[in-house]
Amino acid sequence: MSEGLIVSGHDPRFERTLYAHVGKPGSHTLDYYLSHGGYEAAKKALTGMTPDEVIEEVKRSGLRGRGGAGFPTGLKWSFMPKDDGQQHYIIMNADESEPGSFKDRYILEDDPHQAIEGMILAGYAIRATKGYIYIRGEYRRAYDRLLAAIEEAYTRGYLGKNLFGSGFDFDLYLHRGAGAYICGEETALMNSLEGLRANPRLKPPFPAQKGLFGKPTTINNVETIASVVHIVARGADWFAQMGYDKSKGMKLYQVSGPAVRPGVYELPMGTTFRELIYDWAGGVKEPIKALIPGGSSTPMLPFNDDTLDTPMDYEHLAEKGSMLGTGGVILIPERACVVDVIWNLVRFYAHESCGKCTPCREGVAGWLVKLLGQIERGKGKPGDIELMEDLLDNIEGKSFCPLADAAVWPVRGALRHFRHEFERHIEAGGCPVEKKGFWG
Amino acid sequence: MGFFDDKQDWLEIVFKNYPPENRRAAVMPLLRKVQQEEGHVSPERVAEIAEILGTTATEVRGVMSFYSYYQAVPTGKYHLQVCATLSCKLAGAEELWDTLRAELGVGPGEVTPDGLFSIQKVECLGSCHTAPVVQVNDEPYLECMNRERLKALLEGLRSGKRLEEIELPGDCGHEVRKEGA
Amino acid sequence: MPKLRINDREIEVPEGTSVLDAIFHAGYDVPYFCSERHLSPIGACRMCLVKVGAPRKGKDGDWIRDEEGNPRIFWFPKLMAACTTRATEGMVVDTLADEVKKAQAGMVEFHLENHPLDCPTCDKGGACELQDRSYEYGLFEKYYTQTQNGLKTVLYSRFAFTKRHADKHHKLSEFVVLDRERCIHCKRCVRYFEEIPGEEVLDFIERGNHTFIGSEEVPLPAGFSGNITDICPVGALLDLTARFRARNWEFEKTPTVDMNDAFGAAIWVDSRSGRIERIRAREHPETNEIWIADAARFGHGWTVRDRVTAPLIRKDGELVPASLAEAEAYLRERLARVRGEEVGLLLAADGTLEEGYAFAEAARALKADHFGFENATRFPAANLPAARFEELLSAEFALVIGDPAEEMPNLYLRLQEFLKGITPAPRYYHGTPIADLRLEERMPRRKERLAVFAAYPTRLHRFAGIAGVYPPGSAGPLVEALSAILNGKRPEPVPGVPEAELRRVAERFLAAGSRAIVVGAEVLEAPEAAQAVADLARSKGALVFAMPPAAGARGLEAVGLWNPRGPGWEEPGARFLFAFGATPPAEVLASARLRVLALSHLDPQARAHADLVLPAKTFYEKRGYTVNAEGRLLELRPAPTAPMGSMDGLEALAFWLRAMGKKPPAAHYREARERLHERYRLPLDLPEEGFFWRPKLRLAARTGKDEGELFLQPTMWKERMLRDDRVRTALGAPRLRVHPATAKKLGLAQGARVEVATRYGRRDATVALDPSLAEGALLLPAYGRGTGRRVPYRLLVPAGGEA
Repeated sequence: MSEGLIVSGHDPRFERTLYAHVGKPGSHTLDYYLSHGGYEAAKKALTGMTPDEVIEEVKRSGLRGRGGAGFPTGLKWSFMPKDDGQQHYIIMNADESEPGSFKDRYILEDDPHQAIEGMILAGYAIRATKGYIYIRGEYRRAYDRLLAAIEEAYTRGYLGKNLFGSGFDFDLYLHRGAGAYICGEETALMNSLEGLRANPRLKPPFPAQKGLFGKPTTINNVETIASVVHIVARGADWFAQMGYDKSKGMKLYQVSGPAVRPGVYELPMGTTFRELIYDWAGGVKEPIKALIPGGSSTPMLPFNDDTLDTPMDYEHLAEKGSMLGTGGVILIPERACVVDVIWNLVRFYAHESCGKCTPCREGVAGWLVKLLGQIERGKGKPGDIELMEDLLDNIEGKSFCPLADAAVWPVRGALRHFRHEFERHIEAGGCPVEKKGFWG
Repeated sequence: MGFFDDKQDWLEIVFKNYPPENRRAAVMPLLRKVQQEEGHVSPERVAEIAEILGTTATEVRGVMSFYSYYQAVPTGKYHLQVCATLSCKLAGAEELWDTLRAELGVGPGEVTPDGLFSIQKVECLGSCHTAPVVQVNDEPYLECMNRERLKALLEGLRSGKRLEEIELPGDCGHEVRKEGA
Repeated sequence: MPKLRINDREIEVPEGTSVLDAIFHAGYDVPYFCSERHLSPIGACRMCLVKVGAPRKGKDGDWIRDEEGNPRIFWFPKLMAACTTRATEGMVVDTLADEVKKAQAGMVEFHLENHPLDCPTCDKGGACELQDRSYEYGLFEKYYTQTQNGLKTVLYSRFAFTKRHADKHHKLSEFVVLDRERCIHCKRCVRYFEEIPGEEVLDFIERGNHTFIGSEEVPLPAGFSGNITDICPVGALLDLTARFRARNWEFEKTPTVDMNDAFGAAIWVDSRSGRIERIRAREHPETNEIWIADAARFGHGWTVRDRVTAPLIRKDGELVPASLAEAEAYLRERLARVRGEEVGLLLAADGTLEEGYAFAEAARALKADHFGFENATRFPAANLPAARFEELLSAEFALVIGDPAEEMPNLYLRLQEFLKGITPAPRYYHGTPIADLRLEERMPRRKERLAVFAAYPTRLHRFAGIAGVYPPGSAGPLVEALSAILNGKRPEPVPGVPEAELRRVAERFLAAGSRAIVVGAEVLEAPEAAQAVADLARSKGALVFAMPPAAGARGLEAVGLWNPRGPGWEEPGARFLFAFGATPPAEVLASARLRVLALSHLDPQARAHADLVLPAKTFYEKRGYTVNAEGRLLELRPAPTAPMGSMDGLEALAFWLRAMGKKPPAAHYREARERLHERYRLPLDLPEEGFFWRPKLRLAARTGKDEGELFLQPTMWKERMLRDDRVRTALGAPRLRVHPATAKKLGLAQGARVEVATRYGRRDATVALDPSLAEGALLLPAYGRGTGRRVPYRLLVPAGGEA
């Protein structure tokens, strides 16, 4: 266990970083942060590394975006223009809204300076002297803590002019969302920040060419940016020894549903579901039939040995026909109805569709959700499943942004593994599952 | 009198968050301020915000109606937002919602006669491990809301206690903010 | 210039071309709803999904090749929206693949899902893009079928739920109605308002499946709102002036030119059973593109009301119908011994070139010294160089003195393009690009490129880096002061405009590589100032755009209807007066002994003064040339709506001259055109590629000065349009705008209702105190008469006394 890649939280070489201080008393204060090595990474980079060296280090670490899409972070940063004389922006996407995901919240609540330090590093690397944290409106405590942390950082010189005597200036602003999942899409987020309706924008131009307020911009997830702090502090090699192949580093996995200890678990990339659910989350409280591996948009997998022994990373989950997503695992108990579960998720996407493009507005938010509701209520007709599959074909890959795809994938996953449940609804003319008894 | 007439200092601070040529970027904080203090955003406030930002009321309404937080109709003193998405659903959010409706006797868009409560189903609040979750107004989440905790919440609010003074019985039964080390 | 293949055809397109335009350029078709010419492509409707592949370059910089050595085509993993995909070198596009057809059919099905299919009661029926595209791309037997009782049938949709219900008759203004059920969310209208006139008065409200079009600015500001009824692909936004008037295929569609201002916008006149029912914009890429102003579009109701259909002769003080023979006899009798010098010949502002020529020739032959045209300015617009509208887009700085949005609304839209830095688009096989990738939503307006001054804040003011408001009458001094600064001289002070402001304008003017000067009626009424503009253009180099208040001014002046010395439209003169197309001011009529007016409609002055009225055609019904503000020759074509016996200016003039025993210079338009051809080398038929007539003229300016305090404010709406209740309701009572301090002096209170009497007649107005005006300002809408002038006035309170 002490040689080769680190792919288990039990590996003695594995040490928690992102969540090392979450839950500790006073962990949100600057004093606490400083007494635990806070702002050392920023100081190291700003006083001893060029921006390009920071980008190179991140590239070398193999860090990929933790917001769900998994785009290589260093590569994304390298798209930013150099010496163009324009204001650049770095945005932290803290609009954590994907059902099943709640990992970023505690970084912001309990370790806000980690987020701030990450923003300084990212800003330095991409030559952005201004940063925004776009935080979902409902995260009240996280907002309060961040606001206080930013003030504290300004007061004591960790934000503002000439950080660490390096000549680098960095201003950080907070912007609160107001309840719209689509703002997690980076261009919709920029529109939201600019005070426009949060429809996604056309790409190209990409944010790195023309982003926030028309200026070169990079947007990264909270976990991604926080990871950079530790990559800079401990080096790319440290990061890259965790995980398999193209899935490197530590990852914040989340467990919800009927687990004994649902919560957030920082583990090496490539940890198996079994380890996460049984060793860390304490096992399950009742029989489970399926799990959603990485937030609501990732296709569900049957809860069996094959799934449980799958390492949770980009490649292994792709092999299983699903995705790592945000790493938010949702356990679906035996007594739940898969059709009802899927209807709940499609209803979510329907509610969150921005309405810009036809397949999402009329397909997901109009037709698919109605058809699924009809099947769930036992009003489905023979042929409805085939019709639904054809609708999925007409939606998938045809929408303006990935939100419609995110609605399609869970349906596909459910049909792949639990088609019989859909068929049973139509044959029996109703949902066989009692909807009561879930609330304690 | 305009809502923002006596809030010029606050406005100035808000506008500092955005480039001066992008005043309308402040539309969300302004809408939130009105929502927080008045419980909804009336057409008069929409027009006032448009005036302050140098845009049209149409644009402000377009933005406002895009988000679920801003309300066009008045809400109660305590606006209870019940998460209804998957993890909360699997923890009984529907039963919680039905109980709340029956208990308060209101549906979405309505306010209890005493003006205290209004309810709204919302989508995933990002607290799936502490389901089911309820948010009151713009305050931190109320987690693991079982029957007893809900009862205590309503009783506390009805008795005039402030939200932070109300003690909810029990807890989630597991540590909620700490990884499993 | 990338070369690419569309299905089986190799084409070459300009850099930056969208795949959608490349497809049309290659002669293939692809469906679309959200794209529209001159609007930003947004990729929202997803109708234009096609299969796209492109070659890739390897690490060595050369194309990755297949076994045969040809660049290998890598197909995109998903179908691409053609409207937002850039055509690149070596690209391969397949619009005919089965997966493309299935996707397009699927998208049609989605579009029809919530569309009400109430086509029988929809004014768009027969001209609806959704109808056409559904038919062409939606109804494939292989995709949607149903079998019942063993019989298979094709379906347009498998959607078996209740459709979304929404407000079906939502009035956005007196002119535009919105049907929210029919809306397919293409966003053309929303983008139009922000991108074209720069007014954010329409937007999506709510989100997802609940999204609908809404406005908090209802009624929509009249000005440029009507274009959304043209570009709406379905019947969601409709022209209320034409509501339920005809099916689209029943209209007689006449392509002609709007003569309400000097821009010369191309229009369609849609008529049925001899009535004009609707006006639509007609595409002319170099002038109005696909836009027209609301006045041009909605201001046609007057044509069908109370037409003069027969000659009217005054008998016992009343105008009574008479036969043409009676009219002829009447006229012969009264003109029998009249000498040519005693005759006055006047033509309306919308007269054609042929009419102008005939009037000018007749006046010369008669040695009449009273002749001219309505709204002729003191300085002839034709003396100023004329730039093409498209040339404005190449300028770096523009100085505007006047109010383009009202004086020449389409020029205002061109100025918006100028502010965004848009240059003319390339032309394709199919014409204007449908998805011009240079255009984006919410393009910033480059305010530093624009300086605007007027007697009141105009629509353009908020887009200008330098903007000022001067007291009426100061346009001339402003131009002269600016000219002095530019020529290194000391400027005279200009009321309301600090010298430093003018110096900033001069700085930017000189710093710009290319400049434009836009001047309105107010400057053209100040001859020294207008001359200074001409001199500046020559000495410093600048494009000039003059906005004369008479639509035909440039052409009428050039064919000799310019009368610098004798009385014209505005001044009393001849004892035997003939006017065509409009009624001259009362004092002109009153001083004559015989007043013959050829009119399509009677007005109070004509009722009071005319001795003989001949039925006249409106400009919609005439054939002839006109020359617009850029010196472009345009052709008017007649809609079949003129009442039997009504005359154009040539026929009416001939009628008058024959009564005098004289031979008319041209009896009809063709003859006049031959004369124009002989004298000015104008083409007998307008060539496809267009024709410019911009003779270098140095006509003497007319003398005189404004004597009065009431400024007649330019407006796109014309007196005759006010006959229509709908227009009157939309515009509301005319406002007498006055600076608060001035109001105090005059004893005028906000909201007071007064009657304002000027030489053009009396008008009811409501007093509006307006601190945005300069002190001393008193403004009343001109509705076309005396635009840009200051005239004497009297105020009467409703009771009848003087204010």
